[in-house]
Amino acid sequence: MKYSVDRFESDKAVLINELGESVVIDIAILPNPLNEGDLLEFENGEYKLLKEETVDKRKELHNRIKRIFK
Amino acid sequence: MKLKFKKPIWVLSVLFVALVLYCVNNPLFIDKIYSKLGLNNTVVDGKLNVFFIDTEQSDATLLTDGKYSVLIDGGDVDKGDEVVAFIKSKGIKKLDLVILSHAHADHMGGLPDVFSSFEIEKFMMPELPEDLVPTSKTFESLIDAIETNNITAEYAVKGNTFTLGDIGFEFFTPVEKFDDLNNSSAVVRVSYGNNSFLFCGDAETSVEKEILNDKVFLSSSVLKVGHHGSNTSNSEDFLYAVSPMYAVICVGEDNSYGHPSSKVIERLEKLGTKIYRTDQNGTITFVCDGKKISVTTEK
Repeated sequence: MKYSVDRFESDKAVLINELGESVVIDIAILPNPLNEGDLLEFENGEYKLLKEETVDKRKELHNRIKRIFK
Repeated sequence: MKLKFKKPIWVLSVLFVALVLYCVNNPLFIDKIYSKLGLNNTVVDGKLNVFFIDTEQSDATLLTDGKYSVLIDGGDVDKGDEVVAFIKSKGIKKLDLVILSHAHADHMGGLPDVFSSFEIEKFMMPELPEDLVPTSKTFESLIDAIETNNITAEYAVKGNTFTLGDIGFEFFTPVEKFDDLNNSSAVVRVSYGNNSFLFCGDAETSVEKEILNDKVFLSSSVLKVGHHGSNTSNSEDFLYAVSPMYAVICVGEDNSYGHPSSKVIERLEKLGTKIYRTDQNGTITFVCDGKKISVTTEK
């Protein structure tokens, strides 16, 4: 399952999964460093940072936003 | 003869200057002056209802005067149906404006359902640089809904002011530079005659400081407390500048973030502000007529 980092609240991270559901996870078990919007994959009991997918996804959505907004 | 009068005049001058300095730095005094000058004294015809919808640990506020209806934030990812049901319960079929303070799931999560359920005249949110664009399914769903429903989308811009009938909007942010989504928050003051509501999104103290430095008129009747009452927002100076009669904290019962901060509660109590919280009061409703405000709560 893949997750997007929605935000940080103190020592916790709120992640959104591919179904649009939110889960709250302790930051300590997540990759470090980590930023809002980073994409993660949960595999073999740990969260792995998907750097290239994150960049690609941001670019794709940013381009869509630029087309929509005045 | 001259020597007898010199000292008293000097003392009076110093006292006068001190009094003027005290008055111009006192936001409550400035509020009274604005009222006396009629600057906020727009005559309104009707009543504005402002509903701080209980969506637990998230924000969703509906404003309607019967002619225009506005939604500020749409609640969390699992709250879309509830927000839609609430808006429908007020007989509303069209939203003239939807404002997203910032693109965190607990503010935008319910908006895809809202966009699919109502006619939306305009959507506004802060412009984001590419490196802060969210990558979540929630944000993607929001973009999908805007495109599918052909909704007019505009960026919220600092300094932008406009009216919808008798409802006035003034944006104090977004600030020019921010490195996270909380600090991208659009802070907007909504006015209706002499009544006003300040919505702070999740803007943190660094943004509050910038707003204070801009010396804008912040005093408001009601404050939607920033970031669910967190101490990362709601500095003493900012709260003093707003000096609200009422504060609303949108927060979930027994949330795992420790919201609201007891320090923020203390600062508001020190100002004599009456505090309402969605975890304790449920949905909180304000009705104002341009002069007076009344409050009712669900619990």
